[in-house]
Amino acid sequence: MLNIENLSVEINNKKILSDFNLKINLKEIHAIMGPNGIGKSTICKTIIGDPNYVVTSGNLTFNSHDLLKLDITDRARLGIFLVNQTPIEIPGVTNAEMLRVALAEKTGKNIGLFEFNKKMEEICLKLLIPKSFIHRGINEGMSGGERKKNELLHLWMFEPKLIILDELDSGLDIDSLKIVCKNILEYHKTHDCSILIISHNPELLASLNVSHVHVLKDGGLAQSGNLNLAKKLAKEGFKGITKSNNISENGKDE
Amino acid sequence: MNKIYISNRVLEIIDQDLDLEVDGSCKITIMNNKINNLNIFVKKDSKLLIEDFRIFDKENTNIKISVEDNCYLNYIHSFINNKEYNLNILTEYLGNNSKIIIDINGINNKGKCIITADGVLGSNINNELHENIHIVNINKGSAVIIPNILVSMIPVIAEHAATIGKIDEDELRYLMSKGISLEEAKKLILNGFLINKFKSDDLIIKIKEILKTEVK
Repeated sequence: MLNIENLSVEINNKKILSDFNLKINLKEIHAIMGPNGIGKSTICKTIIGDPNYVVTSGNLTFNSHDLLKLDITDRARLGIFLVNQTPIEIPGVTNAEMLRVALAEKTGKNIGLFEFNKKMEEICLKLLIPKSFIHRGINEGMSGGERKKNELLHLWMFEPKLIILDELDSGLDIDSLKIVCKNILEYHKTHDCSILIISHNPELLASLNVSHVHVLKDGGLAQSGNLNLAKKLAKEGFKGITKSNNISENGKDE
Repeated sequence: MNKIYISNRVLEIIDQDLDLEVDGSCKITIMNNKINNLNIFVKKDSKLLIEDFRIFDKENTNIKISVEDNCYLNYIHSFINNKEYNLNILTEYLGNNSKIIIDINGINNKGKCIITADGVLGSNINNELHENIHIVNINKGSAVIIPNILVSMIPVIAEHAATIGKIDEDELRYLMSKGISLEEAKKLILNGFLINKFKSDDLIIKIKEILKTEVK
């Protein structure tokens, strides 16, 4: 599904990722951990095609599409969806307006109002958010937790194939986090998709049934494993972990 | 100049020059009509909402707002300027304990825009003036905002916030990451910016219709 090979990325002429490799297959749930400021969010932004992140070498493909030839819009239309660490607000632009425009552009036809509203209301029920979210400005005046749920509202409407969750738990209280995790797992169970999650929280990774855990250091993957690695890191921290060359394509330690 | 007295009612202004006296709780709408000179006198203990939306090529507008004691006034104005716009707003406090909020969101398309926002809080006390003026320049438009707030007695609150810039890149990227094209993303952001401050739902619907049919 997603294949990253020897990817090097710069921002403002500063190298952040260097020969980074990662392969995510269909239905897999991968997590990337690492110290602050090491470039975890850079991976997310590079995959979605944020023009501030400049790829200087390497390959990035998604379902055989060369992502490096596509802009941010086209990548989203292929089914790549990022839930930002802190989703921004856009005053005056409602969720409904944005979603209708996006779906119309993607499919080439206007979605019927009745069908659209019905689906939106069902998702609101699922996420335990008020129906008023549908016609609220995007993330406008919303708390951190509400913003994350609002992003999930978009997710269910767009039905992406690759979900990238950047620090999902930031801004979420314990109850909201449970709802959000349950919701993401439900989506994952019912759709052909994969998930890449950036997090420091081993409990969150466990509740999302993460299959692969990677540690990012010095611009590349330093160690990979399963949930036990996340638990170990929670106890021992990132000290002593260095970038090595013994990581296979799908991130497993060899 | 026509002179109108309104008390506890809603008024849509279509005159280019008008003297208005306001008493009680009132709402004034200016919907895409040319305004040259508008003088508004707000009597004590009154509450006034002015919602003003305009698209024009060239316009000179002078608005003078005078309030007596214990008034609340919110002037919300959004516009698209295609050539030249000079807006002078003067707020004047004739008594105490009044609050005026000026919210202006404008799109300067190719044109030049000069906004002068004068506030005379004078020697009266416990008055508040909040000016929020935001201009987005597109297609090489340029803008100047000049604040002049005169305070000669405390306690009062006087606040002026102004920005002149272009479409927010983060907002563009956010919408594009949802699969929206650059052109549609710009349209959504600018339309949202124009309607964002308005409070009346019926007015917002009308503005959306105008933007849909008249603005490319």
